[in-house]
Amino acid sequence: MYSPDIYIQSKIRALREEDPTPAELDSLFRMMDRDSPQGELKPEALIIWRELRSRGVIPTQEGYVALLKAFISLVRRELIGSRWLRKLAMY
Amino acid sequence: MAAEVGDVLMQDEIVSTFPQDKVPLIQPMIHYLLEGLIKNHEVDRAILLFRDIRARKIQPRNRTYHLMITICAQNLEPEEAFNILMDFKQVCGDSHIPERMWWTVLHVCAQEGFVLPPRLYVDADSRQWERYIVGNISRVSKM
Repeated sequence: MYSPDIYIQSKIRALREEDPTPAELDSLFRMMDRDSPQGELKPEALIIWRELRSRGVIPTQEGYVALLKAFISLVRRELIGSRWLRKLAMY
Repeated sequence: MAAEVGDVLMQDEIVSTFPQDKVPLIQPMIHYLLEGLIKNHEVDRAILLFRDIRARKIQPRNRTYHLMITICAQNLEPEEAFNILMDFKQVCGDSHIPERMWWTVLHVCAQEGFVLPPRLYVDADSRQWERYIVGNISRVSKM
């Protein structure tokens, strides 16, 4: 489930100096993964994760899946057209 | 290249926190971790990680098996591709293995000299393929 308002919600939270909930963090990572097909938001996702983890806000498994996925999103674009990626795409 | 090395370090940083935060490693995470390692040309590490995952009795997704078999074949690791294929067969059964997987493994085995010239016709039955590849691997190993 993607929440398009998550950026606004996160910004409001930050302005109020509140931490997001783990579920909100999951949504944020999912949205960041979706919005960065070439891994553009990868460094930002990592910084957010580091900062919030240090404050005790840990994403759930779904959030970690999105975070790890954001790290490999680059390859899908980089290698489009290559023979082995076409094979991979079949799975 | 620096960015790629950085990616691996970032992945490592994330994964190293899992035990501390008591985050269990679930199937989709395993898949993206392996894909990330492969992306960064760390195929050997991906193979070792996959072996470790299987040794811990964690069952990967079918697509993770497909990924690893394809990668081993691409990187000319016939024995590893064959072992993963056999493990896949044992865990999920014959019906879950697409015919192209057998062909992929047979192709890399032949490419690396594990398959001797055929003296008989083999049909598409996977059991026969298995006997054929196993037979040839053991024959070549004894040579």
